[in-house]
Amino acid sequence: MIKQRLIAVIVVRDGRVVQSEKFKHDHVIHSDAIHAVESFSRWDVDEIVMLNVSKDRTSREVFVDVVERVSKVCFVPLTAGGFVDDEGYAAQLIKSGADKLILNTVFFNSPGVGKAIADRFGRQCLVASIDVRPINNSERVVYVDRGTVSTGKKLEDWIVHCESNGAGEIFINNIEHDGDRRGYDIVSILKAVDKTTLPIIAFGGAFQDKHFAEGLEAGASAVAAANIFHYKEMATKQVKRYLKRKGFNVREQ
Amino acid sequence: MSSPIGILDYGCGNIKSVSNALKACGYDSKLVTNVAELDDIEKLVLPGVGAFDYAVESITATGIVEALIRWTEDESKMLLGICLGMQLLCRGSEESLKNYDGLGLIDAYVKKLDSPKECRLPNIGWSEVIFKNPEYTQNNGDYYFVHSYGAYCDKEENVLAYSHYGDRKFSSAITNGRNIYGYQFHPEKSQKKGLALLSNFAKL
Repeated sequence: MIKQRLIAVIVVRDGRVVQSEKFKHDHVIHSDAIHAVESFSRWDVDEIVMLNVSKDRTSREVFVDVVERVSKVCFVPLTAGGFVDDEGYAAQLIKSGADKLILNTVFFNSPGVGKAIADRFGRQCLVASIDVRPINNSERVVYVDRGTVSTGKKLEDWIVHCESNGAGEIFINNIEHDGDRRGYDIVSILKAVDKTTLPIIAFGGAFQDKHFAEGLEAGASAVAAANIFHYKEMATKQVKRYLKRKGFNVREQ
Repeated sequence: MSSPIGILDYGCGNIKSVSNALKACGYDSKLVTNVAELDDIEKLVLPGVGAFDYAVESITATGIVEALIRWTEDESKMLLGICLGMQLLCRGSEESLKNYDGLGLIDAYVKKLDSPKECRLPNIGWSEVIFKNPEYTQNNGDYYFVHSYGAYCDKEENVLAYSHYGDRKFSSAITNGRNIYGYQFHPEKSQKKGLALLSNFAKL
């Protein structure tokens, strides 16, 4: 039986690892992502996601370099993304050591690209990153372009859209939870789990051990976090131990 | 001095991850892109991240298929297919919309994972691999999977290891019983256990 995953997210701006808080990235954590990856790779992390959140597209080449260097010490799956808006760049990231790709805005601007990437690398290689904001307690609307542009679409409809354009996994972040330590947006996770049979990855807001358990209880196949894992030594091991104790089906090395 | 391990580069594999992992195990690797480069290779990895049809078209485009099949007829040569690379070793796949054949090196057919209701598809994450041969029990443990299809062998003797998808069993490692192996999981992305398994292949 497949195990429930713990994913470390590394947010990269202009080649440096940064902290993410409501999609602002002003605080540099590491100047070199390789240190973060080396530690995560040792500390029971099941997977690593690297997001390029730089302000503009010219950062693509620097990001490829980071992926290439990091992949040399990364012996867990590495998912990379940010500005993946054509098949050529997708292939370049894979060639540089990424195992999966994470796409967001392209599902809005040119969804055909998602489909082309899936036809080439397979659906299992393509993660749809979906950022939402609440309209009220129960409704979520999807934003793209690093949270700046509203699509006007409901989360449920967007999941169907991404799935029909090649997505094999759904990575959900609520912008208002991002970096604010209050736990995942459970409403979004429940909606996603209900809408699709693709695996769901919860992201945004996890800070305490119990937050990870809440994400899995809501039905997510994987729970992800960024900031917390950089600041607390061995935090990932601690979370794994906690989840194991609570009876979740997690991997320990 | 052993010769470098070949990695077949046909445009659909995570070749970098495989070469990085071999390097971490202490083995040099060399990309193989054409027939001539196959000559001095003793061991070859056929990686694969992708869709079956695209992979068949890409590997056919390299013009290497016939030579590769002949190469495997020499049983001192060792071939390892990983993930989609493993699926290519089989006769064919249900995934193929164009009815392409696989390489037909292992008597198996690739089918969509039989999906129990509670399971999500694709099957992504770490899952236990149980080797049938007691000699390999030290290799039992969690490995990383990312797939929607699996190989179903005609004969039980071609199954090296099992894993579970929900309560259903599938073959997670297969062989032709001689010199060809296939892993559905990614040893190159399965930390220490995976690297140990790759080392085993390199040492064969």
